[in-house]
Amino acid sequence: MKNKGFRSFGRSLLCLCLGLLLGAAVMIAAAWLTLGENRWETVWREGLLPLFTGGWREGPLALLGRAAPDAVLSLGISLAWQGGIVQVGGAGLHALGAAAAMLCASLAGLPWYACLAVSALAGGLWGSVPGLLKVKLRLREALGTALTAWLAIYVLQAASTMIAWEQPAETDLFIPALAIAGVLALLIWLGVKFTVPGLDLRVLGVSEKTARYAGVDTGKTAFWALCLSGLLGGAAGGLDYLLGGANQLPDLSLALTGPGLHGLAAAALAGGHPLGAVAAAVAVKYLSLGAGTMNGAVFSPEMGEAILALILYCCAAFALGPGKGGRKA
Amino acid sequence: MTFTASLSLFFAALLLGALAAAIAGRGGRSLYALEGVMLTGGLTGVLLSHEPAGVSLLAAGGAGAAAALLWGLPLLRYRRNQVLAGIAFNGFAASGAMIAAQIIGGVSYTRKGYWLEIAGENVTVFLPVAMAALLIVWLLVHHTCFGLRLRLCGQSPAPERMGLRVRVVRGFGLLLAGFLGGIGGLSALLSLGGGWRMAWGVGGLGYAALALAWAGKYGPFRAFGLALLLTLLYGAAAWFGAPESVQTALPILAALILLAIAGRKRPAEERMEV
Repeated sequence: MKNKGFRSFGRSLLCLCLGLLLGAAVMIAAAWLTLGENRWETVWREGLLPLFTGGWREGPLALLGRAAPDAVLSLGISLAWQGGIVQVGGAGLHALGAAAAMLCASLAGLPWYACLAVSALAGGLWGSVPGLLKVKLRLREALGTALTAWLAIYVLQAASTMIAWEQPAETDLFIPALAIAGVLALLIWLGVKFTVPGLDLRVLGVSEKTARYAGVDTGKTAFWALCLSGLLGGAAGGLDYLLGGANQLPDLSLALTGPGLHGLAAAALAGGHPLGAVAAAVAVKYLSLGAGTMNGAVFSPEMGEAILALILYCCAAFALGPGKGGRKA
Repeated sequence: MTFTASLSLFFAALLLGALAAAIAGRGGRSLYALEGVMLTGGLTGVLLSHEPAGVSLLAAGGAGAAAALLWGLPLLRYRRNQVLAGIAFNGFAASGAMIAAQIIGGVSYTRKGYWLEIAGENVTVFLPVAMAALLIVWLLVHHTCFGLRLRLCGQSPAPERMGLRVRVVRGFGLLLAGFLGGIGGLSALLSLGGGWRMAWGVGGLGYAALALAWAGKYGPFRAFGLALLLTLLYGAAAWFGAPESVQTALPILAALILLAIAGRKRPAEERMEV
């Protein structure tokens, strides 16, 4: 397979399979420790079968609609990835976006699209903080985005005593959510591939020195990449709230697992490609929904998160290049 | 738990975590998985908290070392993306801790065995351990042949040509870092309040410790000073009766600011672009 796309797809598929295999091993180990008899049968019936089929339970439209927030988040991560910037603060952006959308819907009674715009704005503003620090003070973005994510979640957790979480009035927004994710993916792909700022971003992703030598304003490009990434992360949180997915004020349990991990896993599986990120987000959501249908008495609800973390680990350890984003430095 | 006990546990967790990140950094690897390493070590230690303190500390260190190796071995062999591998490992550690807690039917622990009486005062055992670790790390990294080898191998893979086994030296550095991180994780879990849940990990202290190590340019004594500063902030927030979330968020905010201020000068390992 000489084609680069095929090679990358094959590598991602291999990582997905390896991650699933390791996940299955964890499930078998958990069953071995908790069950006395019929272990293999229980692993298959209560674990693996629901994991691989549970995603279809609500039908394809619901699956695609529910995958839309993850897709938008992974698009944000992929956009930064194209510039060699590792955006690992997806959890904080998602949480902030969901909280902003909830406040707009419950306090101001704004329509869903206005709530979505406000959540995107909140995410964009928060995403610009590490961007600004990176440009002005050369903050390392990987740790900077992670720390800002923790801060956002801590602030929301502290606010949980003052804010009562309310569910959105209308949650049947699968088709608009799907359309938003599709259009954004197409726009980002076209923007990165065929526009001058997109080329600047890609050159920055290859090497910062090369970009500077080629006359790219590296600081400005990195700042806007982080801003847009934050905007998409915030929009993902808002979308998740409006679809009824985010059903409580974010707490610290979302910092290490949850939407941030899903978005990163999807972006890593896609190797930072915007169109691939949407497809990978659907696969990730399928697994996540499937994991939710496993027998909770035997397998912890966290099993799905563990499997997704293993998939991300396999991608990072065996498929992606070192250092900057997914590219070879 | 008294105010000073909580402060000393928090300080020891930050210092041990920062020392772990500093050793791994000297070996050319940024320990992005520190949060997961601390959680793994902490959980193991907490599960053995009813045993003598030494056993619990050694178990925490051992589990942390194993976790650091698990994270780092593929990276040493294939030189792949350590940031994403770290984030993935942290996620796996958090979910794994929840799965383990369900399997064993909940985690119960005690802080009783972790106190020493020095000059009539009750002092947590983690404080002398952290100070001893500070001295040992300083001596080991800056004044021994192993330290020189570690720093050489951290700078570049070129010492392979001098007959040094670069991967082995780096792996040993990771092992040591994981050991300290694991004990720091136990201290962190014991310092956290009663409403703490396993899914919260060590509450971002791993990332804060990593930021301290970077801000201190991998210097053990600089890490000590910065950890002290963050602990004072934590203590001040507690003194003024801030909610627990704000108490832990303040040091993280300070770590971010310190990291940004220190960003202009980067540690030697990165300048060499290993």
